Amino acid sequence: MRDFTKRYWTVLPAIVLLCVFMVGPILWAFYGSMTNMSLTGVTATDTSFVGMRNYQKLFTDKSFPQSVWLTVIFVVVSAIIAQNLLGMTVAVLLSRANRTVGQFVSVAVISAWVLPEMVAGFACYAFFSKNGTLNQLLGLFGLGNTEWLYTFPMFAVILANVWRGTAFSMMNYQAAIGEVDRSLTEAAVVDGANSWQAFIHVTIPVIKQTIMTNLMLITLQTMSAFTLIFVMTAGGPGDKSSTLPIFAYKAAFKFGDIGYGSAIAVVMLIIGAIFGLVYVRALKDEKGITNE
Amino acid sequence: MKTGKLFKVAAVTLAACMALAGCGGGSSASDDNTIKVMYYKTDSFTQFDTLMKKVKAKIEKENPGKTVELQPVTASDTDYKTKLALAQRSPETAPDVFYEDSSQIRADADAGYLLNLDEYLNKWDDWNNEFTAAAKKVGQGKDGTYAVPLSTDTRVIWYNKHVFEKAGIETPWQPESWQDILDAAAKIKANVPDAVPFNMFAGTAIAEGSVMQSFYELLFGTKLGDDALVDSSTDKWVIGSQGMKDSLNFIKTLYDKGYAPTAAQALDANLGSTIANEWLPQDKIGGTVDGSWMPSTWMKGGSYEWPDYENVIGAALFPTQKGGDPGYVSMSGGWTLAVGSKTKNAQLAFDFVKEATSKDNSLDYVKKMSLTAVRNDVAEDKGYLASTPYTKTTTEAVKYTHFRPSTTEYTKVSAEIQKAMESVITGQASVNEAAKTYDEAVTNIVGEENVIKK
Amino acid sequence: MSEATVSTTRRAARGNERRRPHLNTPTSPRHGASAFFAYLAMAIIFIVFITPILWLLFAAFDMKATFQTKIPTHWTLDNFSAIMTTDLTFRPLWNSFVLSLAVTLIVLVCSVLCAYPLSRYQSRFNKPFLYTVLFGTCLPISCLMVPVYALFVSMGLLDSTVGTILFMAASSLPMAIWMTKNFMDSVPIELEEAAWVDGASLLRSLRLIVVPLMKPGLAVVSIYVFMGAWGNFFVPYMLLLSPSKQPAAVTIYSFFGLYGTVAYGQLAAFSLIYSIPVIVMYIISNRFLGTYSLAGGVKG
Repeated sequence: MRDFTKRYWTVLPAIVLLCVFMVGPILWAFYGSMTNMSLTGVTATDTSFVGMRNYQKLFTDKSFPQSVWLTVIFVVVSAIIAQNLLGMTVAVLLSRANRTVGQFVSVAVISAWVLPEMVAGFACYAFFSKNGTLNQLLGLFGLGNTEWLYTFPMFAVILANVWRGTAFSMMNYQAAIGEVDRSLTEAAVVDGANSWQAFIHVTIPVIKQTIMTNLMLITLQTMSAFTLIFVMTAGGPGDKSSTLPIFAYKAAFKFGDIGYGSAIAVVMLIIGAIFGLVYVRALKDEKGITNE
Repeated sequence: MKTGKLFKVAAVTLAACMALAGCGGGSSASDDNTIKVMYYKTDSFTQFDTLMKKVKAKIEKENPGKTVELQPVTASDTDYKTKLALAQRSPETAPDVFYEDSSQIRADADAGYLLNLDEYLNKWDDWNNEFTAAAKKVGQGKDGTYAVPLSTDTRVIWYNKHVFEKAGIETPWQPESWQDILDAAAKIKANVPDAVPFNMFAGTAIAEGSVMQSFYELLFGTKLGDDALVDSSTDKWVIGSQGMKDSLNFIKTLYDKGYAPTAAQALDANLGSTIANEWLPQDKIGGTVDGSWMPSTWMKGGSYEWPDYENVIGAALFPTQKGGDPGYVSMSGGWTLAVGSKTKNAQLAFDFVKEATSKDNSLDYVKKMSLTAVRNDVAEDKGYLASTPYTKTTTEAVKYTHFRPSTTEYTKVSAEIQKAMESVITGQASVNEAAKTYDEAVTNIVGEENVIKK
Repeated sequence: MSEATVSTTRRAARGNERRRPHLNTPTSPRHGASAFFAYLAMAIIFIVFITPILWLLFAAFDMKATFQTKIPTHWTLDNFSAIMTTDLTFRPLWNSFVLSLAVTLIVLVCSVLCAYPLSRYQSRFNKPFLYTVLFGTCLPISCLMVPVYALFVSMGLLDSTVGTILFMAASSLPMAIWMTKNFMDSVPIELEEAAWVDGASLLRSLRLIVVPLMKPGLAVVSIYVFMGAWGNFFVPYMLLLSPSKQPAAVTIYSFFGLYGTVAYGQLAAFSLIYSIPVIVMYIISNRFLGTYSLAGGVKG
């Protein structure tokens, strides 16, 4: 035991920090979600325990299922489908392209990712706004009077997230494809496969692990995206683009119901935890994570 | 050894960072010699900032050794309220003096954020002699007075005479029923296609503005009148009223027929300042319902100085639904100054409030903002009466004015009305659905025993 | 999994010597119609991705900027000079810098200390701990903000820069520990064993042997953490209330709320200035640590 302490005392700072600032809020979320705490009014100081009432309210509130649904659409369409496939496509194209051309393309894609989220949000706001660049371009074809952020808010934030997030998948796939043994694909080509078949039958199985990891990470990132949507539509109009993080923010701080906001936070934490378990599980099955 | 050095550098930098950060933390925690004053300013609302700076200078001069730390929040009034509420919860961040919307007083007093000012006010001659009875009611909580009003206000219709004349409507214009407004809007739409006919705010982005400067003018002009929101004889919240549906329906008609701005514009928190700074001066809108402070934008020192506004802009009272008694509707609110309950220097904080609401400062502010006076000595001042050509209309509106219910649940109910309006204009719900959702929400907030079906 | 990061380190060590593999086969897009379509696709991708950024660039140098993308008729620095004030630009940037630097240092120290025993000793403790850390990387921080706010109120940490730094550090710790541990695994243990024999303490061998050998890896972790802290909006927006303490991400948002619909050019200029540090960092990391270092490390 003394040996253990001597060896492991260095993990303490990290553990203390994590316990106070991560575990603390998580435990608080469970507690808070069972109270009627509010930002102002009698219940701001005279908070009482209300049991599961906030959760009951969640399931009778029409906005909640809608918010869950919007989150699912946002994640599936913008991350799992678009970012992932586009990222892979660009990675493959780049692996075969002329160096200079490749550099131009990757700079363009990566720029969107490197910019701070707030700035990316503005750029997208400007792009989709009524007098913005998108309508300016559509104007060339005689279109361009759509209020994108108002009429199709989800469409706009999804495209924005694809624009911003594709670089992440692209870089992951570039790294993975770069590691694929070239002789394998070349052998397949010599055997008469075209490059598409070689990609499907040789490259994909080899980078399966990366695909899995990438899907997991972009799902989690997208699910908790806040700033991009907050800047572009603030969840509106109405609740039409309120994904769960925005929904929780509005409930707690705009309408002052901290208890209710905490209940939403708990639901999101549980969803995140489920994903987390699946993720850890998948990695565990694939190979051990320690260096034993 | 190079890495050893690296470690040292890292440690020193970290310590420096923390020290820097710590300093920042220290300066805002108020001690006995410092009071923090929180309020908001925007690019079109700097008058209050000016007033606060002036009061700060005076207080610091009169109380050597004391510091007044001004914390202007650059945000819309909605965001300001959120920020203020966030700050009030914690003793470290709670301001000593702050700009407080009158609708918020009851809830914040109940939350224990506000200091009961009775003992200070009783000793203040001006409060006893000069403040009007109505003004004293504004700051009332459950068990005493919690805030001192700077001014009050009314809501009227502001219209652009150029647009009205182009549309063939005679000015000065005074609608006598909701239908008159719709008729005028239809004419403008037909004859002045590049102008928005008539704006009434709707939606959660404008927050309290969309009920004060729009919905209540409608609701309190329906059959139930002053009892349309809370029934005065039973003190219960009204649900299921026809007036609620009619008001929602009017808003919906305005937006559906294209008389109002597009719903997208209506959900922009900056719509109010866009109208004041751009649309009205540029003949791009027929009319809008807004507060009596409207001309302050165009007056000297305002954000859009416009010498000619008196000739172009007209003011009219908002009519009741069918022109029935009392004929017109207005709303009064007004912002106040309150003292935080966690203050360590209550006397100094109160002195600040006193100075800010003194005759001279009050007169100056009321004139600059074209608001309605809450002090008799200001109301009688010649400079006040002559401040804008609209003072007659806006003061007449006081006769028809209504106040928000001062209960702790009010802010939550108000949020529900905003949601109902927004869902109606965005087409997310029909009028009946929205009214039903509102009824359910209100019942939820105040409890079944506190609602009454009308 | 660990292999992915290890390979990143290897790549990092090799720096930009790395070449992408090229397939020079008859079906490769270098030849024929498929080449045409491949390049067409890349051209479209390039244009689509660069357009919103072009707006930022052009608008920043255009006094009459609108939301449309136009090459300015008169290039001017007026937008920049208009925002060069203490309140608007310098102090928020300084706050961002202090915040990000402190977060980075704390995270770096904590994660190196934490990763060392995990990487060097065998214990039943390792696996569950690492799984928990990995699990922690999955939690959505943005929905923790409601409870974090409430917790900060009860701890009296609201509007405290130190508190905000600690929370931001804690929230990026799981990923940082995970990355650091993987980088550390690739440092051979033999050198330290010699040092242990000489009686060097844990901290001493960590400082003198391990850390110097994993500098590129630590650089990746630092850049990852720094960029995250620099760009973070939601956390300081909720936890720092005084304008004098707010970082650029927050002040730029209030600027947008107030003048966003009028001063497009200034907004764009402000955005550019605020973005420059992270862009520079990214370029540096790219140049010296290999192309995919960041994503590779994150992927860890």
